[in-house]
Amino acid sequence: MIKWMREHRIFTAITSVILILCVIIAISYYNGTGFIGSILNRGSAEVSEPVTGVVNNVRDDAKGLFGFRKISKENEALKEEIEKLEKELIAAKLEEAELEELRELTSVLNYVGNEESPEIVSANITGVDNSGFYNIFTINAGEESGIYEDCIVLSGNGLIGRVAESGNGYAKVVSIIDENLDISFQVLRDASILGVVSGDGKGGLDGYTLKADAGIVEGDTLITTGIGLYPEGIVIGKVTKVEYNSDIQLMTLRAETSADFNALRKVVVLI
Amino acid sequence: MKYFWSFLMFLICTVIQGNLINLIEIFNITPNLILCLVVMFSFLYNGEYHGIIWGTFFGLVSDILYMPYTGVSALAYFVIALAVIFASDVFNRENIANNIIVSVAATLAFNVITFVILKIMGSDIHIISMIKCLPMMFVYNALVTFILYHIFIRKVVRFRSDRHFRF
Repeated sequence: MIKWMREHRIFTAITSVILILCVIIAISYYNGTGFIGSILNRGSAEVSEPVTGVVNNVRDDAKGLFGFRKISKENEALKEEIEKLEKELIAAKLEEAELEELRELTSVLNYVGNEESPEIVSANITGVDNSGFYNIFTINAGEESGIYEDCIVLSGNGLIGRVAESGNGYAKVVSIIDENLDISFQVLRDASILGVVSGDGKGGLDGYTLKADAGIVEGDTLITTGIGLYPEGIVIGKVTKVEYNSDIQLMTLRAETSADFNALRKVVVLI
Repeated sequence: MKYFWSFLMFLICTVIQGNLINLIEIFNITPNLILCLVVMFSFLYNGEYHGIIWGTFFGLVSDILYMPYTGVSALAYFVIALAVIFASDVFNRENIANNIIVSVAATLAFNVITFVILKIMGSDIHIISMIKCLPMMFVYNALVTFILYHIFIRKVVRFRSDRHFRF
């Protein structure tokens, strides 16, 4: 055997390297990146943080220079949105007062609820490799901030994904569109319409409603129900297509995420 | 070329791949600098192993930094570097068209290999998602190869403009 290996050195070397790499892939599948990976990721996060800051500033400046008209339009749209939000805020304040009264009532009646509001950690994105089709990004907060695997990651616009791996000073985040993790949803307009969506692997979401006669329509906003991994009330996305599937006798839907994955700078992690 | 300099080039490319290079992204795609270096070193430097050694090593590093599993890109770079070394014996290495064709083929091979491995590992990436990214990746990697070719060819073939060295 050894004699044969000596005679076929190149073949032996190539096969050995391929086998070693396969073993590394298998180990990382079960155990993550390990101690060396943790050190490398920590070091990379330290180096990348200031560089990413500079990159984001340059990008924003360039956007301002070359996209003046677009920004002007965005500004108008934002003004309209602010007006709308102000009206909603007033309505919400009225509801808040009502809620406060109800809370006082619960304390009078000695009612013990099961509400648990998760803590929030904000983090910057320090690294993302867009040279491939698989999008995974690194943030500059990790185990030291209480971030562990499966923590939920959000942006200002809605659900981003979950933490796939965390270490000291860093965490890797996988987006909801890149994995087939079922997310139970309810429609914002009508909370009685329930269903399940998951990443379709093509940059969007697809799923189905739990009732065949659910009145879901295109443009409906989907939010999480609180069943499973994701807490209640997080915006998932908007429905883009609805059709009745006679095979499973349910309404199937396609949706796009609310969060713009291309423009992410900061995220929030629920711990 | 000394292995130290090629190491340094791979190191710089690995570091900027995750942040600085995103300045020039188009349709959310950036060039794969490590792949371009693997192709260039393997194709142009006959009898030297910069591409296969550093490609595999920095493939592991970039996997740790930017991929869900370690070793996926490293394996892809290793296989591609081997194939390109064999291709360099068959094709004219100094022809720029050959360099670009090899770069495009390597981009396709890299995406197919990583896609297959990720699928085996249970990833839900759809093949359409991969195919959609390919045209932009071809263009971008070919462009980087074009630039790298003009830098490297001066080192590989000295006095290229001399008529005695023309092919």
